[in-house]
Amino acid sequence: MRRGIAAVLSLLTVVLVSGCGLFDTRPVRPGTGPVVTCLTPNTVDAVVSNVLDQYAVLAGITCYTAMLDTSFAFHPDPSDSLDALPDTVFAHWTRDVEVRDASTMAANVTFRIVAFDSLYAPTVISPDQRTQTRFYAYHLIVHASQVAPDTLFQGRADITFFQGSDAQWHVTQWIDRRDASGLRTWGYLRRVYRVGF
Amino acid sequence: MKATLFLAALFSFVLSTEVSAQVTDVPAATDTTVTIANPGKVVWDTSYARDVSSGTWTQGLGYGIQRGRVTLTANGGFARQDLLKGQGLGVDNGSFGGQLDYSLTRHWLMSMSGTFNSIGTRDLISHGSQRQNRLRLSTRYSVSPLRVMKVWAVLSTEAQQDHGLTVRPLGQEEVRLLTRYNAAGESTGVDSFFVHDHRDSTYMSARQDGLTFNMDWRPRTQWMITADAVGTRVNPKTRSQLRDFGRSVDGTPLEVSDRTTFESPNQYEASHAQASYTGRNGWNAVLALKRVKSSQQYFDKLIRNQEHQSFDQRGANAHAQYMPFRGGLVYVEGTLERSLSEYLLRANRNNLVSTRTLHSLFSYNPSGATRASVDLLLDHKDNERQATGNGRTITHALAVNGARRLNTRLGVDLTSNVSLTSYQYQDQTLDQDNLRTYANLGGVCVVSERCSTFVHLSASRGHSIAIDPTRSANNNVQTTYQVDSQIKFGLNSRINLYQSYLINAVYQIYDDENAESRNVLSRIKRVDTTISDSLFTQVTFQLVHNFLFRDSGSFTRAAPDEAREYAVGNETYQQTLAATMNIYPAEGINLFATQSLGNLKTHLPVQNTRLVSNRWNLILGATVQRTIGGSALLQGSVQHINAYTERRKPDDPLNEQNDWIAGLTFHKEF
Repeated sequence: MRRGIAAVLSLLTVVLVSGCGLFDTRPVRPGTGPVVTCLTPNTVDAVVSNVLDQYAVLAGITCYTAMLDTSFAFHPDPSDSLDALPDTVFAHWTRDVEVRDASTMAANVTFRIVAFDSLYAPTVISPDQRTQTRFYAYHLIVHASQVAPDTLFQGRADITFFQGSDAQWHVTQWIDRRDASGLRTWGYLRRVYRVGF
Repeated sequence: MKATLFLAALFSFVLSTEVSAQVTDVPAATDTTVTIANPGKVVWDTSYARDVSSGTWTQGLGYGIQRGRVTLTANGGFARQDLLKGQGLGVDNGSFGGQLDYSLTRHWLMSMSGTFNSIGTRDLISHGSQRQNRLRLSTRYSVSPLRVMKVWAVLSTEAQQDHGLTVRPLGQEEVRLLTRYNAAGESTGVDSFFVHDHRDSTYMSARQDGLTFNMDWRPRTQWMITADAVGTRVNPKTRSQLRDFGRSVDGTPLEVSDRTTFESPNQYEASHAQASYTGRNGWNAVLALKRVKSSQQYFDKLIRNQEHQSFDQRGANAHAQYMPFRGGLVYVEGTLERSLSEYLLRANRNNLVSTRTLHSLFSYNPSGATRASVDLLLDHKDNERQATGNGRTITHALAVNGARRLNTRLGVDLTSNVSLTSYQYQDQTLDQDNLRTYANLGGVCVVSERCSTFVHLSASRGHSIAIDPTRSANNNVQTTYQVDSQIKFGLNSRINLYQSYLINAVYQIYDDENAESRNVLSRIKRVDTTISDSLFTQVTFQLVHNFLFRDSGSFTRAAPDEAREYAVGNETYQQTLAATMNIYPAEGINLFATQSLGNLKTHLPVQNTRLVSNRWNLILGATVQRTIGGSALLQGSVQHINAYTERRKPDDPLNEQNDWIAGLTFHKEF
């Protein structure tokens, strides 16, 4: 009898919670803004294209963050990490941190160019073809108040892509490295926009 | 009544305590600590780990001994990591530490410990290093004033030294203005100076004093009260020398040096109190309060100045649970937390986060055959005092799960959840709501111990809604329908077959009617087959085949009233066939070889083009775990990966892979 009552109460809770507006979304404000092209991540190249086109773009944040796997982790260059000590700003850089970081940056940036210039090492593909690691040399030009006077960021990015059971590719790991130019890295740029979370 | 008064006094203590300490973080480094299992013996570990991008040598030496009232442990280690894909890139770190404990009485312990760490990074043109030395004296005293109360406290003092060195070219020259002075100390003008290199050195020395207190009190059988507090205080003195190398306007090399000395008092305090009650019928209630407060100053190497960070966190947590009947559990938990971080120089990192969370759960698990639960989470997080991104994040999540084993062969299960994450910023440009729903219904059939199957049907829907018009044109709904199943079939005790199937369709439909042309559909079918066979005790075989078909294209209406139609834009077939043989020639030794062929075919119907790619992959390797001479152990694995893509045209890239991956450890006790 008590079990029956508990089952009914549980059902009522579900119905009430669902019907109390706890899961209602807000109406969209009128007007239309720019349309971004977000490719379905059926291939690694589509993911790379979305990252390059939508990183730090206000209208493209949803597209960029959709390219990140739930297990996403960003690892800075060890020298950047050491330079930051005793501040542990790079610790636990998960997908949530990356989403907030990229959103904050997008709201602050006035001009940006993101480019992968070349592959500095051959791509590593797992035997089952579902994991790829690409080794990019990159440069960014970003105008934003918080990183002035630096505008050019350059280095290397070892990015690992994983094909999930839905056949779509996502970024699971991003390792940032300095190159020989002495310029600040993408990791440094990210660091500037991470706010206490 | 006495307990209530004590609780009130305890919580007021927690909220007002003013002990202090320094918050420091150990640099991320390879762990070189050696585990000492047998006291009185010297232990030596050496290992090499290599993957595609890095190689790491680690050496460790440890010693531990206990004689009467004295316990001594000592550890030393060094690790060197080279990043193979980046010329000259690497990290070195070393550490040495030891601890000496002496028991004066059964309740009184004296300790001395020291750690000496060094970490360095290097690349082609720059390098940095950080040395950290600590020597600590402490005494611990424990007492039981009542039969139901235990109290212990630790008093400590620690000598600290940190030395940091950074050598860094700037990449692009920075202009610095230098004021010139005459012999009388009067300004005579300003020179421009173009800086291309920094070389900075900082040295910190300090003494840190600390106190730790802990109390466990059980006034009655059902009640348990604990309280602990820790605090340290330190006033480090830091000397820094910042050197700029550059050129003047006429190209003459110049060096400018700035020397500074400053003191930076750091404090840390943390306290925690908890009262718990355990009663009949699974009654359990806990109330916990905590407070963490710190004030820390440090030299920021990038902005080359003294940063001051303060942190203040308060939190309260209460939870209660009750079992109304056998297998039933009602659980409610509430949390309040407030964290304030403030920086003097990097003011853009200031923030105040206030969190309110309510989590409730009802579950029913009367036996292993039946389970059901309803889980509700309400979470509100407010971000304030930030340079950007101030606002509220709301998370509401409801999950319903259930499973029932109908008999020894059949079972059904259900999983469903709905969640809303709403980002409500003061600057409303970034406002967004994410609504997710998911339902999964499945069944399992166990024919025998060797043969079983399951099937699941699921549907999920995600709606990303940017509220502001500058971003709302990209709002869309992504709906996924999926069927997946698995078969396990044991032909006999040696040969097993596993097969899994998956059919999936993803619809991406934009909210805006004008974006109809951007609506897309993608479908996949996947079949994964594994056959494993153990012919002899020393040899096993495994054959794996993965098949994936995927297509995608537009899913649009030709006219507003018509149904959407699917136009395939591309088709892909992806297959992998891999054969693996394992040989066990001796105990603890395994040799293996895997040959695989990956095939990828892409068809673009509109352009009527077909692309084919074949990739061969050969992995040869061995694993070992053997005891040598009774006191040494060798364990690890080595493998060589060789892969290339078949050329379709003579000038196509082979995309060759030729990598060694290894991890070997030698452990020896003397």
